[in-house]
Amino acid sequence: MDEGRRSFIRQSSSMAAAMALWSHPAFGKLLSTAQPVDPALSVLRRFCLGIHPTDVEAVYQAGPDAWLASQLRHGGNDRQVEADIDRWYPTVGAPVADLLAALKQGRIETTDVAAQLKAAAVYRAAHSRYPLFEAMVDFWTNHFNINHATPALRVLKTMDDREVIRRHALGSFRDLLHASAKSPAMLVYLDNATSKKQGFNENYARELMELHTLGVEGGYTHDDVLAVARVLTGWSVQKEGAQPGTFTFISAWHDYDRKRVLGEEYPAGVGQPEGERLLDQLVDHPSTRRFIAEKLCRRFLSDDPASSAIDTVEAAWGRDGDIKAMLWALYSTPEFQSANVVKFRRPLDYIISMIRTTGTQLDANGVRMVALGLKGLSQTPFDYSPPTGYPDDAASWASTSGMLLRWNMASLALGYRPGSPMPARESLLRPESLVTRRASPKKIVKELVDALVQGVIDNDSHALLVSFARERSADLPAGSGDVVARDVANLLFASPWFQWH
Amino acid sequence: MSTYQSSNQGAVVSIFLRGGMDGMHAAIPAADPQYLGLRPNLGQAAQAATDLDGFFRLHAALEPVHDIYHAGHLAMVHAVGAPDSTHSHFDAQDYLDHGTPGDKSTSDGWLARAIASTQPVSPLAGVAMGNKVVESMRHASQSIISVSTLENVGLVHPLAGMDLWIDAMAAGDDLLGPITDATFAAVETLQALPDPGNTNLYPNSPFGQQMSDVARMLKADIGIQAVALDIGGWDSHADEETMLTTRFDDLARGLRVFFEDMGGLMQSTTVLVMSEFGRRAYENASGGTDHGTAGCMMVMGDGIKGGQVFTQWPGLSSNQLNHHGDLMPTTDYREVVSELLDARHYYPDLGTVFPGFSSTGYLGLV
Repeated sequence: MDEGRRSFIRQSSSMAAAMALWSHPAFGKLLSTAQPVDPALSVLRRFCLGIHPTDVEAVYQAGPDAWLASQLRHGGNDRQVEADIDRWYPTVGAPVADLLAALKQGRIETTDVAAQLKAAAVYRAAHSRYPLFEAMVDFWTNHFNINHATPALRVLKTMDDREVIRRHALGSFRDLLHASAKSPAMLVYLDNATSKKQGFNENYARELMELHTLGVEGGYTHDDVLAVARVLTGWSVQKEGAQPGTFTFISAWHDYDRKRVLGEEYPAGVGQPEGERLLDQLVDHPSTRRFIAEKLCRRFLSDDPASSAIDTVEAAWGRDGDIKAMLWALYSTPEFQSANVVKFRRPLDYIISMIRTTGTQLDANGVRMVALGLKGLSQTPFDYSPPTGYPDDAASWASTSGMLLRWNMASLALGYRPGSPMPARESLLRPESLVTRRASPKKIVKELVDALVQGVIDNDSHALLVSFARERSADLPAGSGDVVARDVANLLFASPWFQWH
Repeated sequence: MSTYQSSNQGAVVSIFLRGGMDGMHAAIPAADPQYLGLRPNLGQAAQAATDLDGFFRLHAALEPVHDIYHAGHLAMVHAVGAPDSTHSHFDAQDYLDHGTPGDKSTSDGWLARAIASTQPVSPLAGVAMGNKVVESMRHASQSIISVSTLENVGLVHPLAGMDLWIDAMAAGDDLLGPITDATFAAVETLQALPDPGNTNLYPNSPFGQQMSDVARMLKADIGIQAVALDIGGWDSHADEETMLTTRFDDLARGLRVFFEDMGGLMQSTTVLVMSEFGRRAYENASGGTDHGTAGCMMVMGDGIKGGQVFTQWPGLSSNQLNHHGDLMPTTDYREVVSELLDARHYYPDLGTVFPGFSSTGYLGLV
């Protein structure tokens, strides 16, 4: 490694002097040296998996309050996006009966069903006009994690995604929990589908409290886990019969004896309704609203959110866990607007951000490339096995191999291949389309900084990019402005400015 | 003679089986009179299992390590666990990863602390396999290299000096600056690794691939003191026999090929296999077992006093199980790890690895 040259590059941009300022282990120190963050940008940077140029336009046109209100009011399926999905990935919208029939007749494989759902998740995240809705879909997908582990799950997750997660992503936590508890995919994934009075299965009962509602510190005991498992015996999935692949309550498997859950008596002789009552008891438990509020803050603010922010979000819970109200509350916290409170982009955010900020329109092949990228970075949708869902903290994702892969993922998406000196003209990302023709290196940097990181960068880094663009411009043959644009984009995508929300 | 001298020696390869591996299905207590009563269906696996010591039997899918066990290079430790037991995967994993059972406030990992305590010179002293940094390898100041693959290590971008630009852009970011420096230091070393030769013998699985990469790095003598890797999918609440047969097979074949591939280096290498907890002593109606407490660990290395199951077997009758119906832990897992770090790898400061723990006597593994 050429230490002399490295230190030259650093000093040439007065980076070394600036480094002395950062004595605390927080990236916020770096962001706070940049210009204050515009509230319009805060709402985009925090609430979107990636920011499309039309998102920026919309938020400036309407103002951040109105933009958020509109995202919450209209957030849901984007009709244009869904039209493409219906055409390219028809199993995503198919009724379960049709899917099972097609599988039985050998017209499709369960792996096709899984691949289509993965592709649809990528396409929606990349192109929806409702990015906050898609961010919440991602949030609940991880909260109520189910992976494509088995043939049954590869099929049933499609219905869970459509009828549980997407249907209730901006609705109420109560509805969401009830839907999830009856979701065949969840019942199979956490083994409740085979839970009978004799030899009941504790898996779902435990994760329902630990991961879905109360949290591990939420105040339940081992005996509560056993009691909840007994309350939910018989909650299962129809295998044969009139509606295969749907929820069913099997009375013969249910434990009708009396139970005691979290201090409340459940009298003997009650079937499915005691399960419904249990879910309501969990929704209404104070630990649940704290747990969900904190998780929202960790997702959208920082890995270690202020307790005052959690208080604010928790206070917006209402009767049923009003998700929209909690998001409004989150938006109202001082932390939300603070440049010092930052969140590391997970691989999904990183890749979707590259797609959206460059205004790239994916075709089916592009979706395949993105899916490969996510696989390389270890965050393929619906492929995480533990019920926690993918981690979302910096300590999990900021690794040496993870960073190397990000830098290379950017190069590959910009048309570079190992060993090729110039990028291929045809490439997934074409940031040159964001740059004025025949722009100077300085202007290329300015335009790309505005588009790709919404202008959020400090002077030293900006100066470094300009030096880089000038050097590239001088080295490359005349008329290589497109390559300079791609290289500047590559360096920006590799930089800390693109790794944090 | 290693280029990277330090006070300790050799390498620890720590394999974490995430999800709660059923120790009673790996080393089956077939001769315990209560066993078949607790596990009438799962217990059928004991018939195809092979004998370990007249009391325990090794699950048939673990057969590939049976020879290593009988040659005396693999030991099992049974009824082992953490003193602060919990049935939560994530708390139990935290306790083990951080080396402080019962205390969730510890932010760094036991393995990273062990490495840091020797003030290593090599930039690759600690290696975590995969893209996500496993918790046992997190540390505020000890740099840890994560390795997802040894194929095409290096930048795709063709510009000579692109690494310097990336590094300059990252300078000043307290998290990403050091990671970027560490990445390029590691890339330089990893690009120079000699050709691995034939790696086809490893299982065609993520674990097999990782063990092949681990062997390749350890053979190159680049100053690695510890490697951490994870295998997921051990949470056998349902259909356990099918599920664990696949897992055991992958694990055992990977260990077997690794042992042979490493050859003489196994004299200074220890492979440690552990999980966050064992499972309930009795089976459920789904053909599985729910979360339990004590489980079993495996220790492999040339020079380990293998060929035996180290245990103070607590028994399986209802008064011998804990009040949840779990196998009672009689050995603290830290006893096992401490002995290996101390007596085999000469770590100078176990107090920082397991704060607050004092040994009540090593088992005699070394």
